[in-house]
Amino acid sequence: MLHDRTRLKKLKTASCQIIIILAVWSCADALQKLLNLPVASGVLGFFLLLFLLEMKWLKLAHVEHGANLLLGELLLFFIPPVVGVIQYQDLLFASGWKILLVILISTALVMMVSVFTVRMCLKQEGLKPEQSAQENQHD
Amino acid sequence: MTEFWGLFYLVWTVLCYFMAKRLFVRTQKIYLSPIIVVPVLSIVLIFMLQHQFQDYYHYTQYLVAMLGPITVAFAIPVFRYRSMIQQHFKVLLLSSSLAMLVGIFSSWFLASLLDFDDIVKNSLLARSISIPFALVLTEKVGGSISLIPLFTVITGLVGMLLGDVLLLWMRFKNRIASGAALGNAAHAMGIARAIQRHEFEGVIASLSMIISGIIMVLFAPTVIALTKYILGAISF
Repeated sequence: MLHDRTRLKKLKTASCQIIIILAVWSCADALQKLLNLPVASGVLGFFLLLFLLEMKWLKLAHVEHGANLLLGELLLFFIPPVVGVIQYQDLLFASGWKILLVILISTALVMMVSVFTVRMCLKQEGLKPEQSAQENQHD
Repeated sequence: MTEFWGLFYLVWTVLCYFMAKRLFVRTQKIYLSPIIVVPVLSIVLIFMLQHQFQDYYHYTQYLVAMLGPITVAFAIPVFRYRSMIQQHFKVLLLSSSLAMLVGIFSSWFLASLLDFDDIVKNSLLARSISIPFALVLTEKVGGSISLIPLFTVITGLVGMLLGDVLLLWMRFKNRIASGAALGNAAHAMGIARAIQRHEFEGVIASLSMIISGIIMVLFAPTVIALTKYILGAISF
């Protein structure tokens, strides 16, 4: 019973905090539409929230739980677009494997380049005694 | 009636998601991830009930609309790890830039090799960026607004499923490297996988996605035009 109540309370705080995040996003959205900026409102809101946190106008504790809840269930919000694949049946039946091949190879290459670049950079940094080298071995 | 089914699909999606998540936590098999199980079940259901995608999307579109506020929420983990990020910002910038270059070149080259038409090719170029970025970009490079979400989704799935195997095979165990790889290659779905692996990896992945997204929007049209010009000159 007590356990349930604390859980409910946590959910309530998280919901309130999600509303704060929504408010920041709405401001960014309004700003984006007003000034007709070429950036997505989500990205604008990201920088806006970062700015608010940096200026200490908003404390981390005020939004933390809400953000954790949203980010923890990130995949839920991607399910409808994946279901949307059925709209492209014709294209997928006709050249699905080719598209998959291109994406597969290209995605693998992008990942490999990312890892290689980071490795190269960290190695150079690692020449200077820094904690990143230790971290690599540690992880 | 559409109202009812719309609401039904929304409840169905959310319920299925939480059940599938439980299953995934228990089994830890990547092919049982909610992002695979729930869409497959939903597609089967849509076909069985002889519905259209629009019936499904009537209310579930609001889940997708949440992706904007979720991008905002990424500010919190980034803020939490800000000193770490400042320390490695150059590395992330460089890896995102190179990764985007390779992404554009390889997609273009492979798509030309397989003889896709220009609209498909152009849409393939923008796909490794999260949907909000990709849509801005599509208009600039002459892709198709309806194809981009498809390619973006396939890329995300491929990145998530391939990521673990590839990163294991690369044998460079480093949170920054893995996070950058997932974020650069598979946008927000890669981030979701990175968070499951480790919180810091998720932070690096979200930062990589945002950096590469901004790089793409700013520089990709020029790079793509240049690529077309150079490749065109070679083939003639």
